[in-house]
Amino acid sequence: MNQVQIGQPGPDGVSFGTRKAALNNSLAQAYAQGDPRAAMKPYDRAGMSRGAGQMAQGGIDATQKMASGIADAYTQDAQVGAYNAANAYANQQGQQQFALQQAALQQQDAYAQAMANLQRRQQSMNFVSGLLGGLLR
Amino acid sequence: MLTYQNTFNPPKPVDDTQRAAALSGLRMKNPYAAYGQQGQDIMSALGDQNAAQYNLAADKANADMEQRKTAAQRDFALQGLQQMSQARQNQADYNNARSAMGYGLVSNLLSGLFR
Repeated sequence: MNQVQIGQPGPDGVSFGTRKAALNNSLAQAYAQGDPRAAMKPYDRAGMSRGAGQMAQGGIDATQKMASGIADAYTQDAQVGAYNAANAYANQQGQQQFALQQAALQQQDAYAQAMANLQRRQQSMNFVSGLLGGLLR
Repeated sequence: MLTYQNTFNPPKPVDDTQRAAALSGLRMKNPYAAYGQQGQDIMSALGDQNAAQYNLAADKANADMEQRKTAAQRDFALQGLQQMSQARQNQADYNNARSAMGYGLVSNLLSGLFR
């Protein structure tokens, strides 16, 4: 059943659990990249033994991947935080606007009713005044 | 444009079966077995990260949908209130026109009788 509901709290945005899981898994992925042994493999050449240079380069590559992975993870987490904040703000703004529009509408409605009543009273006054004018002529 | 179909009756979000099917590709065997356990660890971490990213994207999409739905509900509610107010004004106009007719009739009648 779809019903219009007013005054309900707004949508929550990205849940805390999902956000935490995304951060933790991104960090874990970055830390896994930090293992230099996997980063050394691309420098293996057939028939050549692994050397210190290859190990050093592997270490550098792994550290770079890990560092950029960690930075990406925290950047994304900050973006999710900003997204949630923007969502909450938009919702608050919508609520406020809705309340203002409702107030304006009520004011307009009350004014229209008052004008209609006034018009009715004017009609009866005109009638009575016409009647009296005719009688006392 | 917001319509009933995309606000109050939106398509269902992706269910767990579809999610599992989408992720099964990530749980495939490591094609770079030669990279050893470190490669497996990285592949596994990438798979988990991907799953978490998917959930994050799904949460965002659902939040966006909820936001739009809430906004549409407010719009509909306001439109309803406006129409109710307009209907009241129309009713008052009608009543006033009717009483003006009555007053006019009686007043013409009286002035005709007592001329």
